[in-house]
Amino acid sequence: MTDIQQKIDDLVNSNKITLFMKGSKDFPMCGFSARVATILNQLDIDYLDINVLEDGDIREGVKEYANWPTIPQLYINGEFIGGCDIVVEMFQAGELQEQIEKAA
Amino acid sequence: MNTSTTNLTQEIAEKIKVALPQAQVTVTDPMQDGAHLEALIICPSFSGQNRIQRHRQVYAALGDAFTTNLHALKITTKAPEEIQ
Repeated sequence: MTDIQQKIDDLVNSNKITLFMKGSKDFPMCGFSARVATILNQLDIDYLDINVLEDGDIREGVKEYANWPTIPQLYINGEFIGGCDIVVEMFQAGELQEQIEKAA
Repeated sequence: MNTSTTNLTQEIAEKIKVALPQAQVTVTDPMQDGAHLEALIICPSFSGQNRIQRHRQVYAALGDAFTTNLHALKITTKAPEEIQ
């Protein structure tokens, strides 16, 4: 595993909920990242937001790490949950809340 | 719909159908900007697959078409039995 992959692996495994996004949870810089951050903020849960715009290596590395070509990316307990579409779908179905409670 | 976005939505739909021949694929450009598209894909092979597995197949079908001229594609995947 390359350094960047190891760094990502450490991040997602040392934080319960990790969101790789464009911008930050308080200042999202892209509609899709904003949508996921808003959902997580609404659920009033603690999560680590990682601004991929501040680190090109992480921005590309996380796409390789998850075998997923887009940002944002949500992880719970080190497991890749999905991008914006999937997180929104899970939220609307109540599955996201369930998964977060299980991880608590 | 102006022709340029029609070509793009058709191109995206065709790429997805190549990878998922049994799928019913509908690609639309609701904002008419050629950048924020939506794809609804209904396919029997999605049965029993989770969303990530389904979406990965769509991204693989699009290959670099996704990263070059498309800013954003909203993907919805359904198995036939999931359509009310």
